[in-house]
Amino acid sequence: MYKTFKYAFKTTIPILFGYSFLSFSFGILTINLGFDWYIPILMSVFIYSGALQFLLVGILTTNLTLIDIFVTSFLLNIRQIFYGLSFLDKFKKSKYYLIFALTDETYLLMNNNISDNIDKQYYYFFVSLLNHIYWISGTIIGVIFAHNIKLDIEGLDFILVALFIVLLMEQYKKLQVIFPFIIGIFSFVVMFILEMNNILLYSILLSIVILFLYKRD
Amino acid sequence: MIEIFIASIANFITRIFPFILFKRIPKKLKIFELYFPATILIILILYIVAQNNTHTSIYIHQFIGIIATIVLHLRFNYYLISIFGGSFVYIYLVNFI
Repeated sequence: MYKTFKYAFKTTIPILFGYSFLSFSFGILTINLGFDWYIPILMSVFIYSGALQFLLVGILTTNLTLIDIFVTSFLLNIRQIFYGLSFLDKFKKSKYYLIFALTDETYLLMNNNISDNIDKQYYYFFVSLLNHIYWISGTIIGVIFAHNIKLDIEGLDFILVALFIVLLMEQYKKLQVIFPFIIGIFSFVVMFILEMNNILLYSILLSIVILFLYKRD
Repeated sequence: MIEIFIASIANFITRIFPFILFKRIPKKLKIFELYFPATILIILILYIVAQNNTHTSIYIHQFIGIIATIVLHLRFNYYLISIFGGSFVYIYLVNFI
């Protein structure tokens, strides 16, 4: 088991840096927006989704109903539905924690080639737990940092855009086709021109419909 | 507080959804599974970029930041360098120029 832990730790080292810095910025950003110290920490423990947490602290100050929050959260992360599909018959030990902790990055790491003498169930668990710990501890450090040193740095949230750009390029490398990107751009531009109230929600819905119709045959 | 609870429930539902619905992957969804991440990613990027409109020059800054991220990723192909390098460029532009 110790060997599996060491192996899992090694593969998560890039995530250690990526998550720590992202959640660190999340902690600072949240405190700078005027939230109490425990809010970002609770979010990192129980929500554990970068995109959703950044979006939430941005929209929580606007007048949204709980239904708005539920629907937006669900649709924002609806892509995660497709992550679980790869692990339907693979998660066995502590299945529900593994499902809860299935972030983009954890999903990618679990799809990596794992060497044969490693217990996969323990590997899944350690990767999930380590990434979650990086995420929470980065948030806590960010909260402490923001309280003690008044940093007036704008634009930390760009890290998320940069992360998505990199994920996008990796997607293109894998797929080698551009139609999924065109569908996304088209859906967004349509909703943008129509000046829909909830652009994100409607453009995601439209893209799902187009993608489904396009690949139906 | 209740908002956090609602969001965490919604998020967990997206993650557990396929486990409730299927025992193994349906054929039709395999194609969907393949292409959906690309579509959702580009929408998220456009959404965040369009949301940041506190001042007009921010679009130029974001554009430069994105180009920097892409160039770094093409050059080094290591995601930490691309993410932090691109972000550094953007944060520098926004705060010090």
